Amino acid sequence: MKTLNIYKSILILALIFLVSSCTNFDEITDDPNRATSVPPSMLLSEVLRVMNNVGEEGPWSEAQRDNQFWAISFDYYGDQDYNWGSAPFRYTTLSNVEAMEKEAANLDTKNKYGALAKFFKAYFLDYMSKRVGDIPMSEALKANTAEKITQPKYDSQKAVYVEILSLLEAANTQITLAQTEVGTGNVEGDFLHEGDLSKWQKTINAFRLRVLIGLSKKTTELDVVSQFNQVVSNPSKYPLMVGMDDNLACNFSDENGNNYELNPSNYGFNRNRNIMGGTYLDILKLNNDPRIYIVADPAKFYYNAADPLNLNAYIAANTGDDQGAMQVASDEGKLSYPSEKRYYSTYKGEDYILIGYAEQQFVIAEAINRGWVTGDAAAYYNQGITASMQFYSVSNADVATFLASLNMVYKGNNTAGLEQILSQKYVAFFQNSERESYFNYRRTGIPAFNVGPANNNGGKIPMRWKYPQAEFETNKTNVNTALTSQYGGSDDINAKMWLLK
Amino acid sequence: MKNLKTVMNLLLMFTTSLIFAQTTTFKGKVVDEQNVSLPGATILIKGKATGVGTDMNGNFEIELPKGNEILTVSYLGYLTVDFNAANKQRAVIVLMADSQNLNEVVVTALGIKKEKKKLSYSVQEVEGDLAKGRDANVMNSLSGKVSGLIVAASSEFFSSPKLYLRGKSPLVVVDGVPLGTDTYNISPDDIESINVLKGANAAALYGSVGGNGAVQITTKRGTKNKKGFVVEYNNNSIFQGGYNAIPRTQNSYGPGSYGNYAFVDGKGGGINDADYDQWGPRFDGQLITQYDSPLDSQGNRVATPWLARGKNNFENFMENGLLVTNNIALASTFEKGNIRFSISNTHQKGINPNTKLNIYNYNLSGRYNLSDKTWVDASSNFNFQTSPNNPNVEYGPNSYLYNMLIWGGADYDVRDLRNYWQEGKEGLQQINFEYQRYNNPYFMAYEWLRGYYKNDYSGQVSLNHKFNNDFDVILRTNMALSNLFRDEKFPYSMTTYGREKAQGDYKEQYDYKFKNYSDLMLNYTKTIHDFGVKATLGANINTEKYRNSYATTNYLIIPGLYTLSNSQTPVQPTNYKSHFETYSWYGSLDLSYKSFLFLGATGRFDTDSRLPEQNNTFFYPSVGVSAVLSEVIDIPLVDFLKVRSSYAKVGGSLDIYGNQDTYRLRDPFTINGSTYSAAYVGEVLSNSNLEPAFNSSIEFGLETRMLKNRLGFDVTYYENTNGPQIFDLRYSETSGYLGSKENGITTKTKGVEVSLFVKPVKSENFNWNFNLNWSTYKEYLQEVYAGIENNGRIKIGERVDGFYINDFMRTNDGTLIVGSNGKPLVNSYQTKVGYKAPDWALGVTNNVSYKNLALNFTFDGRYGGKIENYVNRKMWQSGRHEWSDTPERANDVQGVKSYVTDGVVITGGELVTDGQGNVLSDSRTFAPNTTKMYYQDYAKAYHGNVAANIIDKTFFKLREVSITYNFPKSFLKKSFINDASISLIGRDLLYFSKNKNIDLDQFLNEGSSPLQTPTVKSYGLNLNFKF
Repeated sequence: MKTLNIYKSILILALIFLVSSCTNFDEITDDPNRATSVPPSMLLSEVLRVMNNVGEEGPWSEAQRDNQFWAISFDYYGDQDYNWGSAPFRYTTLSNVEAMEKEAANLDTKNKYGALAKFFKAYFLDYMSKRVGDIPMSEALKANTAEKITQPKYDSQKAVYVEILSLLEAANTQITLAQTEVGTGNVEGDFLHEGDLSKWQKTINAFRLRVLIGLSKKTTELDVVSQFNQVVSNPSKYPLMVGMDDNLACNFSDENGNNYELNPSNYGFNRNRNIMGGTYLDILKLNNDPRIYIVADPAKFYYNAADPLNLNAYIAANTGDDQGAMQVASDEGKLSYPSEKRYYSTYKGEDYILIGYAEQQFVIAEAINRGWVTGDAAAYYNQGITASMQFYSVSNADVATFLASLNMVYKGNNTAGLEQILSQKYVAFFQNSERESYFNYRRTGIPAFNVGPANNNGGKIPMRWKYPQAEFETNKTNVNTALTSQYGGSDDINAKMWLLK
Repeated sequence: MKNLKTVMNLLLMFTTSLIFAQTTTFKGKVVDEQNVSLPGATILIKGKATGVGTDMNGNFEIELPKGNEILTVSYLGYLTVDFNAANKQRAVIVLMADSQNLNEVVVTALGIKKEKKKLSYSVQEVEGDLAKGRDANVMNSLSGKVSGLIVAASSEFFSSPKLYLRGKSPLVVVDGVPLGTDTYNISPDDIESINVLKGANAAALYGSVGGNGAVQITTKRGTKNKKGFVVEYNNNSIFQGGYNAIPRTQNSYGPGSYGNYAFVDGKGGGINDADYDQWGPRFDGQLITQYDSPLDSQGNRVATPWLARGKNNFENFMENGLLVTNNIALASTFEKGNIRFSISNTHQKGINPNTKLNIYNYNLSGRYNLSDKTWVDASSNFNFQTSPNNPNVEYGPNSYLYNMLIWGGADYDVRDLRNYWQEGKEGLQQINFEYQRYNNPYFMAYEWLRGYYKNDYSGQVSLNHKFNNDFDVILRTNMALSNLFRDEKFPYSMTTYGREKAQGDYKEQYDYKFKNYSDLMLNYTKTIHDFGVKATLGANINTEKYRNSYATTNYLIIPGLYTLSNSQTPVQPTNYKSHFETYSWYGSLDLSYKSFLFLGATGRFDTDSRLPEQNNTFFYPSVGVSAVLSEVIDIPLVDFLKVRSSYAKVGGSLDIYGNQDTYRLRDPFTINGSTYSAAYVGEVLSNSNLEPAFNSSIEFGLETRMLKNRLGFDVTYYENTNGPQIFDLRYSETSGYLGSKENGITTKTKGVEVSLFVKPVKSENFNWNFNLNWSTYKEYLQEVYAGIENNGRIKIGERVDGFYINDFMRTNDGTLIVGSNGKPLVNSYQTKVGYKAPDWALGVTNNVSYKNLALNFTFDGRYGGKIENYVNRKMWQSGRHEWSDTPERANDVQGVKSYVTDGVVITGGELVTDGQGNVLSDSRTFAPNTTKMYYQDYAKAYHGNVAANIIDKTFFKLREVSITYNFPKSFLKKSFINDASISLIGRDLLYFSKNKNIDLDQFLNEGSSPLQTPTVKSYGLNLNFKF
């Protein structure tokens, strides 16, 4: 019996051991790998990362092919078929904008981040709406509120633009206030303007002008003209960009993850497949534009070393061309490629301008041409061209010669003048400002976009993108209502949205 | 004298090879009623625990002590007899088949042993010897042997197969403890048996991890023969070679595009000399500059004849594999317990050059009886896995297939690239046929090294105490510890996706896993007249901890120095930690009435730290009933007939930290010398009211044996209700979040499993056993969430594995619609082309023996299901596909467009669809397509599209063949060897499929096939000695 007692004791001891090894659950339920609160700067970096969107809409991206700046001959890497699918939504990014505001709410940088938040809201609402049409707004972003709306209704595009304009007004007011708050913390995490609020204010107002000119067909429905006047006529309240230094732009470098899209590492992938686009290059050619020698290399087959500036060696591919024929012509040396020196020899390439001074000047020139505001359209037009040429380091003398050339001299506040403004605005957009050149074409038809056998959209340049497919799985009733009210129930990429009517 | 006698008795116990006057030798043979010998029957001296077994011929020899000469002879499925051997030296003992009694004992959940006939759920034991004819991974030996279990063998070196039980991933259990295994850290030589608990009904006691059933491995324990100990040596030597599935190529055209190619620098300086396709010039001996063309005095390449120099590059590059396993085990039992020690080594040389694997496994197990009623059982296992190089086989410039069979051509001979450093640039620059996208295969094999080093330790101690005949307790604790180190050396001049600067890299990763599972189990067993009770009450604590750290350089400063500090920009390491615990109470109750009616029930309470506090304790039950009808009804020719039915519910947890609102961090990025860290809001909202997930299962089965056990089958029908699960309820993105954690989504799997056992021939010298396993299942969406009728594209009531793709655009009568360029058009919406899961799976095993010779073979495979043949698609895109050598292609290289796609073009009208592709109106008019195009453009647009590459997953394999010769006892008599056998073995000898460019074995639910290393056959020899 004694031995049995020993074993019983062992059992009891073992039991105690078993029970005492329990851990308090409170100590282990929280995720040690993640944060429940972060500084607003980290959210700003995230929002800028999405806004910047270099991969999809930056230099030498698919968006720049849709803009007809370049064409790809290699069907494995892409095409120019214009058979567009859906556009991305940016609501989760807007959640991050709201989180940035929330994280800053108790900090002395509240107004700084708050003003930027208003701008980002306006920016992304515009970004989405001009791609698809009506979008959710009044009921959007409410999944994590008391209302808990998970299937928001769609608001009319008109209502969205009214809100965008009011957000931009509020952003300007708040950023003015924020700049007076001396001694408060700086905006961190800003890789575009390095926390420079005066530059942000100029960006906000330049963007507001972009939005207003984009509403050029809606002057009777919204107070577009008066708002434009209000901004342009009061530079102390609404500071605007005064030079290329004010551009909202990102620069590239030899750093991992921040290389220019074309660089020495990928020359072999792209050299004989990335071809200069005709819609763009032919404008340069027609105007004897010195920028052509900076952005493009002549076609080897036609190049004559004795006559290096002969524009007949600059042969573009048309966006509508059959890709097979394009590749064969490329391999025969009969097409112009992006300049090896400017685009392939470094990891820095050139800056990518999201919202720029040149664009702003062309926008004002257009507004004057349209009679919205008074002023010297030619001056703004010339400033736009000059700014763009400075971007390519064209000499002052060449700029002056170019501005004085017959094709370039402003033809007055008439259709011909408007066409000059829009055409040079298009040239200044080369590889920049995501899809703005397409949106300008869509609004004005200038310059004429090329269509050919490569087009798989019935020979048309589309007028919009489809709604994300996920909406038909998660918000079916509301998205279908929006389609019915706008496009007869069809998610048709060739249908015209309110903005364009 | 008395002392001497004691000593001698002791000696007798340990070394009974000496014959003493007190014993006599008895030789016997055990046969059945047909006079067929019964190998493996057990002969015990009555009242003693020790005994012997019969050999292949039913013969045995035993030393009989004087005065105790009654032998108890037993054999599974036969009535046990007591045989009086007094005054006999030799006899034949006849056993009568016990038609009523199938007293087979199986290991059920948590290691609890139960009689199989009493079970109300489906359990199947794996027949046959797992140590022979084996693969490096023991799980591959289960293929085709269990109905409802699919073993999707990996085609990759040192890669575990995926197991699917009733379509879901089962738990793998070693010795009744759910600590898991990577299936390489256990040696087949240490495995006593494997059985499969099919589904929640059988595995409910394991808790949430057992919700999909369990594959249970039971390891060997000490045994002995008449010498007192057994030494067993087992050796397998297997050669691997001869392809079952390999992509075939055209060898008429080389690299380039539309017939144009000229090498200048291999970096884009020539014509299509970088990142090229295989749509280049025809190999006609014409002069073209190539990577190895000589340089003239100006440094320009001098063109050389364009020939298919490397038609067999891939075969020339690959090697034969070798798999050698050695095991030696020592086992013994003694009065106070038993012990077994085993050491195993697996050495494998892969078919990819410079790959090898070494596994050392040390296993020690034993039992010590503290008293008659109390004993301790313990085991430990050390496992060391070393593999200095595991090639990355994923699609990309890291893959040999990518570099040689898809995008690489026949224009070079791979054997010319064996010395891969450029002269004067050793350590800096490889020699290759191209310098932008592709890599020299030998350079990859010998310089890009991806090491894998893992040490696993596991141990178990259990204390068992029998209070009395009815009541016992087990207290046990088990732990498993795993340390994994991986590194990757990426040399200068190597490129892969995202590392185009080609300046080398070094990466390190450490993983640490700790699991502990401790439980206390009280068992009560009692039989009162016709009623039997077996009850278990238990509690356990389960702890899992995980730690990981990872760091990589951002290009190297000093080539060839593989350290983390040798990084061009500072290293930013990452790490991860997790820890969770579950506490459980469980019980089971089994009641029996005679040997006719059985009732079983289990219940389990879990408290799980991963769930929200208010819902982290939950209960789930199981109940089952079975009746052996043959006990009460006499059915002609039927020996045994049982019906069973059971219901089980199992609660489940959620992914650790999966229900918390936190910010997520992105990898830091650098702009203008400043580093930025971005954070974003977790896109799925947490839910503090979240409840555990639940699975339930209902099962009906029928088992029978008839014609004196010559024929039998086991049929099961089951319905598994998977859910309500924990899932991400999708919100409209416009709400600001992508969804929230909710309880919802219930699917129902309905399936049938059939096992058939036949003994077509049964005689003294010639025996043939035939087993067939067949199973089928389909999973349907039953419920999603209140007010929601679909889960993505799948609507309620539909199968969950519907396969949707963007199909070619076709007219109503199915004609292809092409664009104005002649290329086929593709729908902007997705349509269903079939289902991904197979229709059914089949496995057939045969065991034929004649005298000392035995032949075993297994044939298995699956029928139905669709998959995209990605390899086929990529080879069409590249121009390397064996069928791309068409007459029109010959025109391409002449610059002539000659291919006209068989289809129509749209001449007018419009197709209007709603947002999901439903047609609203269609006014399109068509005319036949007449556009001539390059064949290259057609092939890429048509054959290079997903829609042209949807294939059936159907395949069958001759999985295992072995011919074993057991040396006769008479032959071994004079040697020290007791048993010896030699086997010729083969695995995966034949592959039957319409698609021989990929091996379909590894795919079950997949929609697309990744790149895979071509699969090979294995042939070898097994030697087994016991002494």
